[in-house]
Amino acid sequence: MTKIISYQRPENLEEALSLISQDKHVPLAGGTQLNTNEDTEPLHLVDLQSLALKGIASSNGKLKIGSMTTLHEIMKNSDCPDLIRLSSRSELPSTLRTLATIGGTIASGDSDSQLIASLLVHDAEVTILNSSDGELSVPLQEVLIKPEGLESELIISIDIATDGKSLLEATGRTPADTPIVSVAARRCSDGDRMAVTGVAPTPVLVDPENPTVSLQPPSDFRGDSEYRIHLVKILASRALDLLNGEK
Amino acid sequence: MQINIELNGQETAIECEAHETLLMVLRREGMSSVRFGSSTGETGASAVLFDDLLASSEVILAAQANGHSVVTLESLNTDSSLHPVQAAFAATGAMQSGYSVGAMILGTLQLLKETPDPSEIEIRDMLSGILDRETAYVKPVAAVKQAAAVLRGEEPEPFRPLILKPMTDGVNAVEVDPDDSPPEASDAIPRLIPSSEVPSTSVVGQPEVKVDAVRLVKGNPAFTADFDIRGLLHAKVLRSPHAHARITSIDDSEALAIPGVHAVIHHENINRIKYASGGQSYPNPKPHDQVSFDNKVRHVGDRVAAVAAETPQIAEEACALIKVEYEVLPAVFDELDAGNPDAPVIHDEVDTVDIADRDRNLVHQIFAERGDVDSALQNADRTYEQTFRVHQVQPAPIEPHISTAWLDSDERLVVRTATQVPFHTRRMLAPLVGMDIKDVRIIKPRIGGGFGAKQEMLIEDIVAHLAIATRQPVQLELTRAEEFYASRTRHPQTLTYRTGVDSEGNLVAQELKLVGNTGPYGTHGYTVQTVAGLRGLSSYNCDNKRFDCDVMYTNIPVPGAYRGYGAPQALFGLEAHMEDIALDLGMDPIEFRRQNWVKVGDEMNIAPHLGEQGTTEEELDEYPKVMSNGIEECVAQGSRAIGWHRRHDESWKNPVDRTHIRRGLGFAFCMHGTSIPFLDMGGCSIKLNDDGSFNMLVGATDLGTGADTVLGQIAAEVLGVPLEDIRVYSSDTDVTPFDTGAYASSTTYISGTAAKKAADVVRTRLKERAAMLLDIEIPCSIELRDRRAWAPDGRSVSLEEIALDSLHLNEQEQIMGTGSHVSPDCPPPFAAQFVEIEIDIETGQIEIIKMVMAVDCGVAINPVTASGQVEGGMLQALGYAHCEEIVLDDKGAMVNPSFGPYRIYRADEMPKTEVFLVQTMEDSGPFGAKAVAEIPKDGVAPAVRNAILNATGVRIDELPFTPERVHRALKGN
Repeated sequence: MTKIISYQRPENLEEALSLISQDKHVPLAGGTQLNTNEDTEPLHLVDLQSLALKGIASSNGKLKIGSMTTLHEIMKNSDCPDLIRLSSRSELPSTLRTLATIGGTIASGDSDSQLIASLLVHDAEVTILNSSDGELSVPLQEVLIKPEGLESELIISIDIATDGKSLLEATGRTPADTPIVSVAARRCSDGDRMAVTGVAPTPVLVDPENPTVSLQPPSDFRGDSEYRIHLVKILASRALDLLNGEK
Repeated sequence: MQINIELNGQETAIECEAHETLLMVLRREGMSSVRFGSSTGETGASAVLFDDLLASSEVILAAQANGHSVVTLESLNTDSSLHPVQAAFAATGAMQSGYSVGAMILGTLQLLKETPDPSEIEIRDMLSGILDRETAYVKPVAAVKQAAAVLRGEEPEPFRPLILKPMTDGVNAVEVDPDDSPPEASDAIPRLIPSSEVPSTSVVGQPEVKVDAVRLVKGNPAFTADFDIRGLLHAKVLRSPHAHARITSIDDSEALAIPGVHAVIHHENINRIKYASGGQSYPNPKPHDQVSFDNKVRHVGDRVAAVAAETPQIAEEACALIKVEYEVLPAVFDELDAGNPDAPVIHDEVDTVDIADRDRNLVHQIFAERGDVDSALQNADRTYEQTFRVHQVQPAPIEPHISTAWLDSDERLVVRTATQVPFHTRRMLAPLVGMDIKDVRIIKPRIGGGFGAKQEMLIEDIVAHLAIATRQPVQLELTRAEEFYASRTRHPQTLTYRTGVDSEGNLVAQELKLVGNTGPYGTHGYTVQTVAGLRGLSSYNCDNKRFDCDVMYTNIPVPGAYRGYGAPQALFGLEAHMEDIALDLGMDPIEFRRQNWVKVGDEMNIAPHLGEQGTTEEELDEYPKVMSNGIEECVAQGSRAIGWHRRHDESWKNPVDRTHIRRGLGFAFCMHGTSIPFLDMGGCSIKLNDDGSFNMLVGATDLGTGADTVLGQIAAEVLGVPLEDIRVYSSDTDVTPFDTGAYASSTTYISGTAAKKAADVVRTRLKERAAMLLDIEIPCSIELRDRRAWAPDGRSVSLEEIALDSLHLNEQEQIMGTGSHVSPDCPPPFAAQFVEIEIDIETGQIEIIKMVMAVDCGVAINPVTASGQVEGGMLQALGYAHCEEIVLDDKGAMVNPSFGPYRIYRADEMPKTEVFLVQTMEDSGPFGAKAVAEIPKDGVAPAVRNAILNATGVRIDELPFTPERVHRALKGN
């Protein structure tokens, strides 16, 4: 497990920012990934639980989800779009989703995350705080591809659009398996969005009309690159059919 | 640092380190119900209510919990009574080992608080984070429903089997009416089809609650990790990063210099004594190709050194500081490559002998033949040849291997350990540590699942060496990753069947050529492949049979025993092969099998030639015969339950509203064994107490299987008392009689007969003493029932009165009896396995919709625990067929050593599951019993394979049926 040298629990954002700007200091959200990381590099943990970053609220037709809101809380919240609730449930089993947070999920950027894919198609904007720029609102896809990660920055909240119809198609070894590939899709008044897992280092937005363009999926024992491309084609087509009400 | 948590309602201050998890501090606080499953939290064994929500405590830092509330199972244990949720888990058979029951009960409390009448989906979602290898979640779901009903104030139905009328006469097949359907009942309820040949009994055959239920359902100390010992040191093992290498130097000086490190052991300071780690009867099968620590490593994860230190963290740090230099050698992983001239020689050391051909990595050659296979194949009307490949999986008990060793006050070595074979372990361990058997004591507490992985002396020698070196108690608990790549796994095999059939569809010749992969050590390599030959050639009548097997060394993680023991591999091949032959002949697959399968009175004509006690034809007077067989009833019940008639219904198979889906049904005929004849032995002793109760000591090893309960039921039946009057203590080499251990589906049959014999001795003496008290001349006319001894004239005396008289008043004596049993027979249980699947022909994804197994296990001594065995066995078999696989990279390192990447089924994705127990009377078994524990492992993989064939016309002869493999097969490549 991670070699943890110290644990601190700041009471306000300023203190938290100051701590995480120090060497080897990392923010701790739910802990389901960081506390189980096998990397033996020593770390100082900065627990964000006292920063009032929990909660779900509607504003201006969007939904704001605090970064420390757990997947369990999202799953139980009837204001959240069905796809976001469903993906929060699928992401982790019962004993881990009560701990894991939406902010931690985004920070991990896990290639297989159905929740991230679902957030992408719901036009997620991530509010990030850093000591030089203050609060910034950044599209989720840009947060995911930041090469330097989120060093010395805090995810404060995530804004998502709630309109339209959205769904997710997936193929896994078993019904509740982390999918080999999944395709999230959403249709709203200004068009369709589509995001795919299992084909790139993080979930990615793709062109719904041509979802495999520029994808070069990695191969592993669950599926090689060619098979993953095949799955994207099939699942994307099904997702569009479902949005069209054809099935 | 200090944290303050509200622990079970009490404000509690706890000192902890920054790196410590909530699990660690809770266990230090005495919360034994909170248990380790994996450091990543997926098993849920450590789950508690954290601010009223179920959460795995092994992924929460203790510091994170500061200021929060934590509730553990102990919160319910305010007095001797059970909370209704605890009572429901006990009553419904929802616990086998009970290792994770604390989490399940806490989850139930949380769920029912929010949702008094939860749906099955909600219940299964709650259980989704608690992995269970034993129950298949069927009975835990029933327990939650029952608890919900009780808490709503309702009176639940008693949890009993559903008795069904036989559909056959027990011998002849019947046509199942497509419109006939079995009565509705919860999946958790075993369907019991009684036989008129079975005599009526009072305790045997009843769904008694497990004798260890209170201990388990309250989370009381029960498992190896639950017992505190003062001065305990923790061990960690330094493991090889290479698949094959020579250790050229090892330097432990830096590791020893760390404060808190007490000992470092490796090949330079531990005596080189050869052994074989498989937990088997004396003499252990050769070759003895292991030593505790070697100067060569033969798989990634092999032992290099071990450290004992004051904390696991210090031990881990010390392991990292041991400097080892390796000469890396070429490695080989595939059994078909291992004999090539360019393959490395894995055992080149001179002190390993009895390898069949060391230079070709050929450990064993096994050969057996009846009749003349070559001639029969030449003369057959049709011949068929088919090759199958089966893969490596891990038993994955939720409790990893764990052992604690110490020197007692007499300086004898004591090892409390999660083992299936305490007596074998004692015998095998003693020479490794230079002690006499009499100076070694092995104690088996409760075990959190074994499934064969613990039929091995796997880590007991490490803790013993360290305890002797430090003169302090030492505990070693494997990590989940170690459990995957450094414990034991199922043997991969390549199997080729050749079968000859005459013009009438009768088998005339059947040959199984098998190449088995035993990894770097022999351990169970001989016996597992032998059982594969035995099981793979026993199901069908055929005068000419041949088993021809090579067992190869390779550099994969070590295969060993895993429930089923060669049969799941062989029956995958056999039942796929038979399906394909039937279809080629234009015959119904079941009818073709029926024409050929063994029936009552048929010889098991290759069995005596295979196994540890294999004999030649000339040595035999006669071949063993099948004496009980309920397969026709099993087929009838299973066919009706699965809706077998739909297999030709094209509109059902090709649903118009889901054009990418095909449906299919599959069948497999299963025949297993019951114990190893002339070898497996169990002992039992029973003594009478002052109050008319009995202490029963058995060597048998209850792994959560319910063995203690079943053996207690057998004794209670003989002695005319309720089960609660039998106090069972098992598996302690200082105290209990010998038993070979829990394997080979032997416990109920062998140890159960020993229990019956011991009880018979006590019963005889009780009747004699009753005759004295009742002044009757013929003691045999007395009957024992309802805790009393009854004379023919209606007078009676209580067992308590007999006890007080015999212990205190007249001609005093201790009434007690011993019994032991070894059997010349190995009566096969039979089963019909059916599955229903849906297959996505565009992606290759398979969904298993329903599994039905109808089993003839003779008389189920306890139908609830027996059906639990079938449910759990099918879950593991489903994983074998569908999603579980150990994947190695090209250097031999496992790429998926954690739950998730290594996929095991969760509660929220299980197919519907039904179990039918078809009674037959097996006269050689106690009260008619045969085995039930392993046969459910045999049929799921071939049945799924045959269902894919039924759905799509595509044959896949390699496991597992992952989406990509199925997709490629559907595409024709």
